Amino acid sequence: MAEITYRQALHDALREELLRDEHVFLLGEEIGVFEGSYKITAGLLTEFGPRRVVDTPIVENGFVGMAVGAAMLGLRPIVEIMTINFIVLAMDQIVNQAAKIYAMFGGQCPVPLVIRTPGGGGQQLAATHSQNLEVWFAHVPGLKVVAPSTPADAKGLLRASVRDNNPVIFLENLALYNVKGEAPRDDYMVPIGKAQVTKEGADLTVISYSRMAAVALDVARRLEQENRLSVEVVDLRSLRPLDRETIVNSVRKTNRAIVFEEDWRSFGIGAEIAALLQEEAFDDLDAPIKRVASLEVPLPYSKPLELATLTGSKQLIEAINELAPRRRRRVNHGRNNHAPAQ
Amino acid sequence: MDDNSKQQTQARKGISTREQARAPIPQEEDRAALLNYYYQMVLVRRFEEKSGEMYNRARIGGYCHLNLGEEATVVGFSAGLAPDDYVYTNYREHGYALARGLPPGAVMAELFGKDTGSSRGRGGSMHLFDRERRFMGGYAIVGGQLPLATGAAFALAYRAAHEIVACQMGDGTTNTGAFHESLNLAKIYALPIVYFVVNNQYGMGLRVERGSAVSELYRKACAYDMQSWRVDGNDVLAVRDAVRKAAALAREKHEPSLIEAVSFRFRGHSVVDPDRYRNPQEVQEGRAHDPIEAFATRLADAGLLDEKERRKLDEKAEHEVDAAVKFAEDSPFPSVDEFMAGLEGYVYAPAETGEEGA
Amino acid sequence: MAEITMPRLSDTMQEGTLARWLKKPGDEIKKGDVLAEIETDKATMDLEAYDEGTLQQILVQEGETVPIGQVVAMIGSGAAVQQPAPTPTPSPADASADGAGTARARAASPPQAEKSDASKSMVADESDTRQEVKASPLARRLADEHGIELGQLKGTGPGGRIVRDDIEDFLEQRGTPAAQPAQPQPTAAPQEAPTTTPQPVVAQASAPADAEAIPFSRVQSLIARRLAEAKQTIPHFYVSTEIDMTETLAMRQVFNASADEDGVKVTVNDLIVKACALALEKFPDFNSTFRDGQFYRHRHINVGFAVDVPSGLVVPVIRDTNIKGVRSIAREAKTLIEKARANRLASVDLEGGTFSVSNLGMMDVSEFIAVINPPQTAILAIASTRKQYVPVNDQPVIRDLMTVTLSADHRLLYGAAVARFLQEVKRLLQSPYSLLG
Repeated sequence: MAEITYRQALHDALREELLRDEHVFLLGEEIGVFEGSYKITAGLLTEFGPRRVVDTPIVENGFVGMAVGAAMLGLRPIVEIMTINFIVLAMDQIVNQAAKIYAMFGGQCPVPLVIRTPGGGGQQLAATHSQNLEVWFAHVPGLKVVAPSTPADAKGLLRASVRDNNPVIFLENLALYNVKGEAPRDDYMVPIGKAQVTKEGADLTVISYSRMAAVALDVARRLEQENRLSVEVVDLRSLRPLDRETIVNSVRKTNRAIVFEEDWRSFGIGAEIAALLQEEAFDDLDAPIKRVASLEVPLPYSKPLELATLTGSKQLIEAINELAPRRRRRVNHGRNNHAPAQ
Repeated sequence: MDDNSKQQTQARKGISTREQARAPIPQEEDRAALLNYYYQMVLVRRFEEKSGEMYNRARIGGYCHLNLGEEATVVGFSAGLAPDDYVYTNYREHGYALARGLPPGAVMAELFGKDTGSSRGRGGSMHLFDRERRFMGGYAIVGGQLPLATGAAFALAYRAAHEIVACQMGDGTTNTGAFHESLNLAKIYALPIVYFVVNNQYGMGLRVERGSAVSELYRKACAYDMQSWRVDGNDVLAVRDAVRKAAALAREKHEPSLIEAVSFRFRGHSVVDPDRYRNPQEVQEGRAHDPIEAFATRLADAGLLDEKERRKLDEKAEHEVDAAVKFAEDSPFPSVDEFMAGLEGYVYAPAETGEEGA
Repeated sequence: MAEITMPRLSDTMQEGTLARWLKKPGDEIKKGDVLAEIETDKATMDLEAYDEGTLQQILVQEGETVPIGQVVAMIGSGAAVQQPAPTPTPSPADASADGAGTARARAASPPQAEKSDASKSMVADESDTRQEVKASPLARRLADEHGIELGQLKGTGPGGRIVRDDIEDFLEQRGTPAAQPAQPQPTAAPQEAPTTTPQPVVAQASAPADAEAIPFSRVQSLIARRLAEAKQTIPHFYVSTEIDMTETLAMRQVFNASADEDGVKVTVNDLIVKACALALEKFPDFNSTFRDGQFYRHRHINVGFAVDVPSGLVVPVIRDTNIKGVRSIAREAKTLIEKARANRLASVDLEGGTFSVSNLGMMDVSEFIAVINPPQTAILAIASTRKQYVPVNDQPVIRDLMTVTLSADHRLLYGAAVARFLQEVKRLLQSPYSLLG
């Protein structure tokens, strides 16, 4: 194992895929000479040359479509869209073409494409540079959407995405790039469509993904340490397909759930999770499902306003306190005493 | 622009190139190939007429756009390409599919929504596709095919392959963002692609001049420092020659280029368009300059096709179309149960396709 | 001859109007000729001929609207055939189908209405509970599994909702360790509360060396819980009286002697049940139930009677006992007992009771006390009838005497009322012809 940053994990995975498979190539704005606006692709142009690492002009629809066309002929492009805010310019090629070509043409033409893009806010980049639009793509049949929250998952999931024969939206997060974590050195893969229980607990479940999953884990660990509450954390890792089984099993166990998401609450990712839980775990619910999300407004620039608008650990803790059951079920390993009712 | 400026001046209005169309057939032309062009044009004509009828008989659903009047453009385009070149088109593609070699039965069955259709009934009129014959679709979004075609050319350049990509589109497409983005990308990456604009003068009802700041569409290519030509879409040999030239440029020099073929739509935009926005006289005149008639006359003048021979070819085409309809009628619809049981496989490609790519 | 049909001219078109014929019968038609103008939902379009020949017959007149696919004209070779155009009829199938459909729907509704009225009073209580008490789905499920009346609990969840915590509190207090919901437990960490499975065992403890654990069926567990609850939560008090059953027994003999071939014999129990029912008419407080902290007097008198069956104890209910004749009661009771013994009682046979009778008279029992059957507020325990000497006009006479004991919920019923109720039951049984009719 090695401790690496999320950024390093992505870089290494890209490099290893470029080495492993001649069909893989990268394209996107400023990924070559500029070494990537977030330096994910640093050094790759020098190592692999302009044929494998392609700088594009500012034409999201054009170069995403170009990647789709290349994938139709068997190449395996990895497109970088500088931030998810610009993905809207490529909606036709992603939703109308990439997602539909395999089905529409009777299964004759797979589209093995990966679109990497970071979402999220918190850097005072204001309304059009701070969004979380992944739910739009999670809605579309024909696409797959993944969202790793740790360096290990980033590496394993990127590999799996490149090797999948379908278009995959690979969601990163600006604030995750510098996060460090342990990652195995070998050629492991994280399967698409599998969530992970990153912390076991008994009193309630927090379901999350991407940066918020990391925040949730941190909060849950602190609460456990302070001996206050036993929170289980489910990191979705994949938004489409969704790992329904893991989510449902967790809430069947704890009976209370919070969805913690950076996107907007209405019609967001949490809406699907809440619907799923009431469908499949209705008789195990001890309380309505809570959704903790960012305020539904275009994100303001000014720092105090931005902090108030974006959701975070403070809002999660508030929600946990509201939802926590009166009688705590402590997860004791082997001891037989009752937890004191609080 | 280039050495074809004389032709371009003459080709300013498609109709005025009637003289061009009546030019004698050059000696070096191969008779078999010429008769084949004639046959293909008639096949497309009969097929499209039959499609219109089948739509009215509610065998074909949704939208249906016909190549009636554009046969010379369709056949010339195909004739200018090599059989292993890749073709991307818009949604007015039945003729192009047939000219590329898709069996008429498979095309009609697709229009009928049958399981034996070229896309197994999943696509319909606007989404024909044949991997083997490198007919890469059939796209319903105006301009959707341009970045895709450009990407296919990118893959060919990436592989240093010898094939090229030909991307057909309508006149309205030249105003979309995708058009400009694609031409720009093709030029900066030096891609082996031919952009083929079929200018039938109308979007749906919007005349070209009203939608386009520059209505001589071939001129738009200069913004991308790209070579371009305008040809009479009614002259199958002229179209073929232009495409051949552009294809050679793409294949040998990896230079993208653009061809504008000025043509004429016999009917409305689609089978449900009563075509009330065109001047009836204009329509009559256009229909009178039937490219099939014009070519048949040229062939007859050159002594290459007599009445008897022509009738034989005409009948053969009709039989082929009738057989296609029968095939489509007799074919089963896709099984709903099978479909429901295999939804995942319908939407997502499996893990190992075992394909290197086309 | 070829048919010319109404074409489909747009993706949304369902029918078209034949606006104007441009050809008439007898005209020569070539392929591509425009035969007529068709008005569609979007525009007026041309009807093109796909066949050649002579227009033989026009079947749809100008101004008529027909669905796509319908034949509008005939083309053939040969002379025109003049025929009056048949008027297009709308497909008859639809009209009658609609009619039948509505009739069926209407016919269906009255029985539904009746059913709901009838069942309202009977199961109203059940449904009322579910609607009036706020509880989380999990809490409801746990309450069901443990046989807890939600009305007994006070909810501490949001909005006063009963939540799992409240169920667990209650169970702890009751002494039953909380049963884990029977779900797959994927975690490794064990719960510290000793787990009990909801079935089949009631309490878990290691058996003493010289004993073996008595297995309890689910039904038995449920009954056990209910009885324990009844005794714990209802303040019982008891009043006994001795009833002279001599006249009743005599009347019964007469009754059964004249019973015909249907063979239903009236039992003493049937007569006692009828007597209770009539008494309940006069003392409606005894015909009450207790739910959610509230006593309810019921309009219908549904007397249940305990039946001993292999799987435990059941109390089937005879509805509207007060207005049924003794023979009807006898018939119904016999059926219910048979069903009970065959374990075929439906829930409707067991629901809605407002008063219960427990009869041990067939065993040699001098008297006994029964446990009230919640949510009811009273139960009458019947002991054996024995011959005894009683003074009549200062002379010893042998009479058949039977001790009965009423257990009553002291929250609602006080001593004097109970005594008076018992007096009425005694009065009816001692002049039993008042039971008839």
